[in-house]
Amino acid sequence: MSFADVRDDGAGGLALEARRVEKAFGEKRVLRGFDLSVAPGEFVSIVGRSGCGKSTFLRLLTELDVPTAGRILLGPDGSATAASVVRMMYQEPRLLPWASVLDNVLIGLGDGGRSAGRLASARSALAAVGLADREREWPAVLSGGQRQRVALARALVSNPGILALDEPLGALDALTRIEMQSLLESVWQSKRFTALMVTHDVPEAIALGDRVVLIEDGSVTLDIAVDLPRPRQRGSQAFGSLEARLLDQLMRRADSPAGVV
Amino acid sequence: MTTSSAAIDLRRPEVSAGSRSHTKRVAVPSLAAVVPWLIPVSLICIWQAGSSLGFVSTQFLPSPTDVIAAAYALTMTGELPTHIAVSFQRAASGFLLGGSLAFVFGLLNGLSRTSELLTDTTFQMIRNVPNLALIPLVILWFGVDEGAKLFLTSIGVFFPIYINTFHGVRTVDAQLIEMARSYGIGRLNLFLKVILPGALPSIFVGVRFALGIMWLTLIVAETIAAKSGIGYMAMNAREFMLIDVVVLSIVVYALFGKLADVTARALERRTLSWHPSYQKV
Repeated sequence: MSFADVRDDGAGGLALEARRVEKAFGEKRVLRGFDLSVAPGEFVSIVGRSGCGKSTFLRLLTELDVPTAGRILLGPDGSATAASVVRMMYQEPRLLPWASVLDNVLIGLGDGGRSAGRLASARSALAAVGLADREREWPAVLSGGQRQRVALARALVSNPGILALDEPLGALDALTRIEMQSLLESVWQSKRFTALMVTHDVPEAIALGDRVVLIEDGSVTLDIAVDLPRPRQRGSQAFGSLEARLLDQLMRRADSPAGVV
Repeated sequence: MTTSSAAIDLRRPEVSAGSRSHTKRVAVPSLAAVVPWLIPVSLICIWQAGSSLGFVSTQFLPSPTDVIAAAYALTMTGELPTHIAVSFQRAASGFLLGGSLAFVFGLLNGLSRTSELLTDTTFQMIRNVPNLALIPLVILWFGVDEGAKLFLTSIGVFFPIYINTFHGVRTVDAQLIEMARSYGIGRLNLFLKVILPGALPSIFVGVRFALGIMWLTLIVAETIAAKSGIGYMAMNAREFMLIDVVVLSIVVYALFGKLADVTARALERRTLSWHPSYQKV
C-alpha cells in the first residue's frame, strides 16, 4: 500500500457515484435501486431508521462487502479502488490497546516501518486532532473522545479522498459529541476530503452536512441541500425548520414516535 | 517519636522535610516486599523453636538449622550445586522443547482451520492421558536416560501452552482484525501487530500453568528414574535416612518454583505494560 506516497497532503476529495446499487442478504433486499452522487469535497450526512441500509451502503463503499447488482464509482473517472482512496471511521475507535497512540496512527498508513516520513505524517495527523502531546500514551489512559480523535487521525493520516463515518460520535457523551462535531468540521474544512457520515442524530446531520440524505427501505427518499453558513447555529430558525422537515419525513412511516432518535 | 520529629520540624523545617520524605520513600515499598514473607518466616521460626525446645523430634522433622547445615555441607562437597544444575537444565530443556512446539501448534491451529482439523483432535486425546501415567512406558523406552525426563516434561508443558495459545489467537477482537485489513495491513503485520499481541495475555496464563506442571513432572520423574538431580538426591537420602537432605530437597524445589513464577510475572509485566491491569496509576 503506497497510496500515502502517491497522494499529496491536502489533495482534496474525490467524487463518488452509486448507480442502481442492490444488496440482498438471502431473501432480504437491504438496498434496492440505490442512487447517490457526491461531488468532490462534499460532506453528505446520511440519516435513516435502524435497518434502512445506510451502514450496508458504507460497507459496500469500503469494499467490506460486494453489491448484488449495480456499481459504486470512485474518483474522477470512476476507476479508483476503495482500498486506495476510502477510509472508514467506526462507532468504536478500534485502537490497538497494545500500541502507543502514535503507532495506532501509523496503522493508517498501511504496511511499513517507522521511517521519518511516516512518523512525520502520523505526528501531523495527531496534531490536527489536538493530541500532539499524547503520542506515547497507551489508548487505555485516554478518554472516549480522545480515543475517537486518535481514530480520526488514523483515518486521515493517508489523506484519503473519501472518508466514510459510521455513527462516529454515537458512543460519546453529549458535550464531547459537540466538541467532536466542530473538530470534524474544521478538519474537513482544512483537508477537503469527501465525507459520508451515517448518523442517527438529525441535528448532527444538519450541523455537518452540505446535504442530508434520507434513506428509507434501501433507497434515497429525500435529498436536501443545507444552505446555512458554517459554523451552523443550532438555535436558528432555518436550522429548526430543516430539522422539523427531516423528522417529519422520518416519523411519517413510524408506527410510534418513540422509535425515532 | 512523633513529638520529637515535630519539635525538629519547628526548628529546621527544610532538613526534617527532606528526611521525612526520604524515610517514606524507603518504608513504603519495603513494607510491600516484606509482607509476603511474614508467613513463611514465622513458620520457620515456629519450626525452629519447636525443634530447639524438643517438641518436634529431629528424627521426624529436622530443624531449619539442620537443613541449613546440610545445605552447607552438600554445597562444600559440590553435590548440591551439581544436582541443582542438572535439574535446572532438565527443566529448562523440557520447557523450551515442549513450550516451543506448543506455541507453534497453538498459533498454527489458531490461524488455520485446516491445521486445526488435522491435529487438534489428536492433541485433545493425548492431553487426557495423565503424563505421569506414561512413566512405565518411558522407562522401557529411554531407561533412566535424559531422554525420559525431557520427554515427560515436554509433554507436561505442551498442553497448557498449546491450549492457551490457541484460545488466545481465536479470541483476538475481530473488529481489530477487520480494521487492520481495511487499512491494507498485510498478513505478516496483521500477525505481528494485531494477532500475536492480542493473544499474549492468554499465552502467559499458559506459561504460568506450564511452569507448575514442569516442576511436578520433573520431581516425579527424578524420584522414580534418575541417577542425578534434586529428586534423585531426595530419594537417595531417604534410603540412608538423611531426613535433613530430604527436607532440603523440598525446600530447593519450593525456591525454584517461586523463582520460575517471579520470572514469568516479570516478563508478563514487561510485555503487557499496555494492559490496564498492569498499569500503575
